[in-house]
This record gives sequence, C-alpha cells and structure tokens, in this order.
Amino acid sequence: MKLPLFIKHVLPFAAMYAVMIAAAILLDRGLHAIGLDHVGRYLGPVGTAFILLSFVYSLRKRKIIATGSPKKYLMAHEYLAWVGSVMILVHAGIHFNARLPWLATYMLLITVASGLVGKYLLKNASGSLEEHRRELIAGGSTGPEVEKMLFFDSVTVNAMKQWRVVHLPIALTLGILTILHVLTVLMFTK
Amino acid sequence: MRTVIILGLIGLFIGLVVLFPHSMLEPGELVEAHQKTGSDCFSCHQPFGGLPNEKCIACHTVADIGRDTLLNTQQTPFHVALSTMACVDCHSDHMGRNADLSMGGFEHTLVPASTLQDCNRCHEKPADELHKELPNKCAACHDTQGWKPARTFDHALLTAVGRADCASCHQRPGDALHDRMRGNCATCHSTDAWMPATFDHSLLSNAEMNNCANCHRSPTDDFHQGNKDNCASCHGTRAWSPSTFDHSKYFRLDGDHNAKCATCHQASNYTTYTCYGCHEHTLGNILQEHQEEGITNITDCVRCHRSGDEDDIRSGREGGGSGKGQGKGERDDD
Repeated sequence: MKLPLFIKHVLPFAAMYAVMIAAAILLDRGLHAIGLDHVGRYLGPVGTAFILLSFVYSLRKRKIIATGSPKKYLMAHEYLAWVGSVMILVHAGIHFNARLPWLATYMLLITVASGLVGKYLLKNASGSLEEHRRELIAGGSTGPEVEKMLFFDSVTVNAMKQWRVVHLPIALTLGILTILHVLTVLMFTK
Repeated sequence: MRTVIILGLIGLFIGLVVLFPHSMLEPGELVEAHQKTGSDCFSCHQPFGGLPNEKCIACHTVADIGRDTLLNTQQTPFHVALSTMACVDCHSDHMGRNADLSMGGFEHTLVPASTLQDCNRCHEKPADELHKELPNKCAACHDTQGWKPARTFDHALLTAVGRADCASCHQRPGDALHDRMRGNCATCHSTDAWMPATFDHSLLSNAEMNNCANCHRSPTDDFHQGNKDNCASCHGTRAWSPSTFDHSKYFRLDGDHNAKCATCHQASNYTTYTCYGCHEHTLGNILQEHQEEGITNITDCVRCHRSGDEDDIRSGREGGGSGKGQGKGERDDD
C-alpha cells in the first residue's frame, strides 16, 4: 500500500526536481560541446527575469491583480520558476569560486524544493476540499465561482499555512542573495 | 516581524560580504604579481565602472610592457599601438597565482607587419640540432596558432648533409625489420611522409625473402590459416593485392559457377566447401544421377569434377562406391 502512495504523491515532485537538475547539466554540456558555453553568462539575467515574471501569481494571490484564474497563475508560477531555475543552474556552471553566488545557487535549489513541497501539499488539500465543493454546488453556486472559492480555501488550510511560514523566508533569502550577487557583479564589472 | 526578518537577513549577508570580501566575492586568486595589491579590490576595479585602462596604466607604463619579458627590448613592445583597446579585451585575472593572463592566446594580427616578419624579436630560436641548421624562416613550418604541430616541414631547407642524416632529427625505428636495414632511409621512405614506404625486397637475403612472416603479420582468416603454401605462390612483393591466387587449380569458376564465395564456402571458412549451397544441386538429385555409376560418396565433388562441365572428370578418384570406371582414369559417369 505504501509503494503506490509514494509513486502517486511523492515521485512526481521528486522527478520534477531531478529533471530540472538533469536538464541543466545536459544544456550546459550541450553548450560546451558546440562552443557556446559563454551563453551561460547571459542565462543568469534571463532566468532571473523568468522567476520574477512568475511572481505575478503572488500579485494575484494578494489581489493586487484582480483578473485571471488564480489556478493558472499558480501553474505559470511553477513552470516559469522551474524554467528560470534551469537557466540559472546553467549560468552557475560557469564555475565561479566566490561564495556569494554559490550561496544564491544553493538557496535557489532549496527554494525550488520548498516550492515542490508546497505543490504536493496543495494537491493533498484538494482532496479534502471535495466535500466542500459538493456543498457549494448544492447551495446553487456556479462552476467558476466554486473553483475560485475552493482555490482560496485550499491555500488557507493549515498545512499550507505552515508551509508558507517556511517558504516565504526561503524565497526572501534567495531574493536578497540574488540582489547582492547582481549588485556586486555590477560593482566589479562593466 | 516580517520586516525584522528581512532586515536581519539583509544585514547578515551584507555583514558577511564586508567581513569576508575575498571569500564571498573573489572569483579566483590573483596572479602572483598582483598579490601586491593586497586586499584592495579597487586598485584595479572602478566601482560600477569595470576595469578601466587607467587603473592598469597606473602601474604598467604602456611603452614598457614586454620589456622584461620579451627578447628584443628595442622594438618589440607593441602595446603603444593598441590605445583604442581595453586591457581586459586580451587580459584577465583571478585565475590563480601562476595563471597566464592572456585570454585565448596572443593575437598576432595586433603586431605591426614589420615585427611579424621577424619571429625572433619575441620568440627565442630553439637551440636543438634541427633548428640550428635552419634559416630564420619560422613561418615555413610553423604558424601563429601554435608551435606544435608544425604545419609542414620543408626538407629542402636543410643542407645536403642534414638531409642525408635523417637520424639527426628522426628517431630510428627499433623494430626487427629496421634493425636489419643498412641502407639510407630514403631507399624506402620519402620526405612527404613515413608511410607508405616503398620497400625494396631485393635488399633482403634469400632466406629472409622466403620467410615473409618474419616481417609481415599472417592474415588471421580461415583461408590463409589453412593455406600452408608460401605467400609468394599468390602474392607479389610490390603489393598484397591483387594476389595471383588460382582458384582453377582446385575448381574452375566458369559458366554457372562464377558465384559468390559464400555460396560454396560457408561461414567464411575457405578450408571446406559444399556444392549444395545453390538451387541446382541437391543431395537427392546428385545421388540419383550418380547411383547408376555406382558412386555413393557425393560430398567431395572436386575430387572428380574440376569444373562445372560434367564431362570434365578428374582421373584417379578413390573410394566412394564400386561403380564402373572407378579408379580407371577415364570418364566414368556418361
């Protein structure tokens, strides 16, 4: 019984993480093989732009942006951050020795892992909300209304609340390290 | 609470950068000479301005660059002609104490044509026997991409004495064949390449001529392994192929028998054969045809048949039956 649960719930997220690292290694090897390894230097800013773009979801969640499906914003957040992370890992393959950029890279890996844990918790929470869905529909709510209400319910269940207490400081630390890295690069190079 | 955490983290990382600037920010160790700058990053870096030439020139006088390291102190320095370029276009640092600060090799096109003609202004001529004899025309053999491998070597540059003494530059092969050779290398080899050589077998003694395997490796295929004849019965000394192997000595390949080797010699085994690899011959029809002659051994066909001509019967067959004509030395299957 334990194995199917593991395969169904944990493996997809672990695989997504492993594929991210494998994709970064393959892309890095490919760029070296065709003599375009210097492209990695530019993948840092591009990857960072992807990750920043993914935070549109946070604006929607905090209702700073009023339109659009929150679920789609969340999916965009997940995939844009994943793609951006691959690019930044290739960028890190330039083999710098300074500790600050390495700290930022490690923090990126921790943040992605934390994000995947959040994705897992969200999926679990959705099961327990199924009953609430039936109640809302029985109460006369329409499909899109139900989806919206359930989504905000799902991200406020206890497990998600506890996870966010951890995930936000992690993401914040990554942001601070990234800004410091960018600032110091600009300070010493042109 | 959140603001406190944010400020705390910012303070922590800025503190780490300030307290340990080198380990936090330095991408690699400076070259030995630049170690003298101590821990002052801004002796080379301009805050938010990269690495301006002025910082380098403050220590390195352009006109003097190369005077200590290049051979000709009078005319070699060429950096004065590069005033429009940034030092960092060609040089870098933070690659270790003993790193070469030139990135991607020296770009010879930056050097004036007059300097480029005379390599020895910057490069020392090798002191070995080969180069001692040669004129200062490095470009005849080498290019600016790298000293080795030499693009080509023109043996015409050598004096007659040098040309005749190959061993003064080339190492004599230590194998058994070359140990026996007493002639000049040019007897077999040319200056274009070591191989292919034009070995003159007449240099060998009769005993050596008859022992090909002393120098040549025997082919490992079944056909050659099973053949005990001297190589010379099929092959000449000019080349291994084409050989003069005469299949007619065993069976004439004419008419319908001009078939692929594998039709008769199966699994690339040339020590055996079969006549039943084609549609024409089957054990049944051949046996039927031979029974009237009283012949029962129908597996070793070439013992009697020397070609596809059924009238061309080899005499002196043995065994295989008691039919008429057996062992009579005449056509016996009419």
